[in-house]
Amino acid sequence: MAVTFNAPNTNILDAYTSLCDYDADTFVITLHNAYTFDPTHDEWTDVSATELSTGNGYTAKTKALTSVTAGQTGGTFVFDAANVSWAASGGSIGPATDAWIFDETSTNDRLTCNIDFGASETAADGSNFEINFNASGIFTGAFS
Amino acid sequence: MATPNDQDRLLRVTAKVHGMSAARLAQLEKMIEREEKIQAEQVQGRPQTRVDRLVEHLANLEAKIEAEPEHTKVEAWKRRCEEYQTSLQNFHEFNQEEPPSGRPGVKVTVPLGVLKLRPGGE
Repeated sequence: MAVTFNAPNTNILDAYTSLCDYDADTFVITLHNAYTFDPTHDEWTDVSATELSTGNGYTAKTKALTSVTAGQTGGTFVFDAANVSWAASGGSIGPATDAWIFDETSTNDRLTCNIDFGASETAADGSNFEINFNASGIFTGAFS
Repeated sequence: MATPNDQDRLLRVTAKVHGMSAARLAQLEKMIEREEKIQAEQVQGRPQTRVDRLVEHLANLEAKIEAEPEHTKVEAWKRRCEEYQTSLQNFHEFNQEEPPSGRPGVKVTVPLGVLKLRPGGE
């Protein structure tokens, strides 16, 4: 099954308001298992129950995105960051069905977006669990 | 034609009229120039690459730090600048943003998310 991108109903509003400071805030990416996307989920507590437990190279709620770039260019908002990976060591990482990105600096850790893997993914011991973002960015937003 | 001195004087007068520092106004002018350059490139059909975005954001943040060195978020801005520089250095050395890991593994390739916002509402 295909990987799909999902965003909470509040996502694009955060981009245009002061709820998230994209130049300074820390954005964290987490892995989840058996999560079903709900667009009304907008804070970390809505999704925390399905996060993978710490172990084998995965540490819960700690993987910060690096080189986050976010802002408007030519009327379009683009959010992007460097690809991420976890190195499985001492056992496997997973299974995981989803990833969540959230703003750890914001009040109540506002959810930014969800990535549905479309399948259950596991990185075996000695391998990497990698998430590669699109060359054009993680997401774009524009007034319609 | 206006000389650089005329432009500088005009900038300072405009800043005073709008109640902002000349440095802040100069920063805004720089941002507008960059935006115009990017829009011109888009008109020519050249999409903005990840490297373009990193260079643009690095320049914007460095201008912000210079204009507002006492801002409470200046340390976060500096950390972000260091990340951008590392990313750009990796592009230079490895032609990709992260050094190659050399390990096998699961690779999830994420499609671009496209969001729409209606003016005046959600």
